[in-house]
Amino acid sequence: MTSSCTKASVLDRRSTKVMITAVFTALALATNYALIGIPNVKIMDTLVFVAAFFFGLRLGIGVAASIWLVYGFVNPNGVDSFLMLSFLMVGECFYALAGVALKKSFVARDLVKGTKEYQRLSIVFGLVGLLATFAYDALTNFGSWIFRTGSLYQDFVFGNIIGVPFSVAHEASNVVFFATIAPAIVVAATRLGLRTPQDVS
Amino acid sequence: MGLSIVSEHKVFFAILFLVGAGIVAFQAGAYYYYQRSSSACPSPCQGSVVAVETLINYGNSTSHWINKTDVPSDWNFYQLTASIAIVQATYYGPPTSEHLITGINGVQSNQQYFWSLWAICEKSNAWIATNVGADAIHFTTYHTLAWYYQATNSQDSSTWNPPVSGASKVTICG
Repeated sequence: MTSSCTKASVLDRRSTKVMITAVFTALALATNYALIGIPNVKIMDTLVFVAAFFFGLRLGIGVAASIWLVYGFVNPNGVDSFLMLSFLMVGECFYALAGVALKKSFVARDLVKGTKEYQRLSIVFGLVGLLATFAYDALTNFGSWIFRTGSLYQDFVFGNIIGVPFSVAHEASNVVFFATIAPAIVVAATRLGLRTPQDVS
Repeated sequence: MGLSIVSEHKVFFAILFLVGAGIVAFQAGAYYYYQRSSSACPSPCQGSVVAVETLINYGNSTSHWINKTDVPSDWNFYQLTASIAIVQATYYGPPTSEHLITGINGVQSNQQYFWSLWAICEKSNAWIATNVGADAIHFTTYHTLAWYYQATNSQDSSTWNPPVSGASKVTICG
């Protein structure tokens, strides 16, 4: 008990939060550049989700924004405009929201209680990943076409039809990553006794 | 105690599966529509030929026009480019099924320069940077196209210069 409270207070420190944000950002950027040859297949989204799941919404949003501040400007495929970058950052925050929402659901409670139904939990993680990725793709496809047709509705429809091959690749890969990597990290961290401020409260 | 998490949270799982199925159906429909629209070719499609003009602008004041009058109408612009130039490309399989052009006639894309794809929008008689790759361009809408080797300054195509200096440019063909 004492040990849990001590760990939680360490995680409350601003310096610890900055360090965690930096580590997750570095990990996401490293994997993004490693996977640069495979369009729209990235572990980044899963990492933002995991960061928010363990350390809360603010840290998750911090990771999402930090990643895109670097990846949007230092990218072999080209530099994003500020407008597009803002859509990408907001879209990336959907994964942080998904992580926090799942943390507050029965899934986190069952994991702490030591459930063995990993396959079912894996399905939940995969479906939440699909939902968040769909929202991200819908928003960013819209953002890539905004102000081009003269109607926001047409911008949305055109963007999402022309962008659909990339959306399908993104959503399929994220379902796999969210169903495998995310629960594996969550279960491993729980077994190792990671208690975040949210767990303690 | 002995209940599985599915029976404990039936409503949650039902909603999650329904939303997931809805997303899959939506994307499958959009993908079908995209495939159908990007594989369209003039009627009659098979056996007919069209004339297509292609500009290759190397970005160093060197450019040349290639006028080909016997392009099979079921070809796409990648096939045409490969028939008139030496093309280096990376192929991405399904679902994108597209080639990323990395070099034309020995001029390679790099960190600073890349090959952008343009077409003449016949309605407005102006150049437009296409929003799809060469594989998705058939010769129903566009008959004058261009490859332009230009500096990578932004992914926002509205800021790019057209392949013919001083020519007009639009961001939407309509």
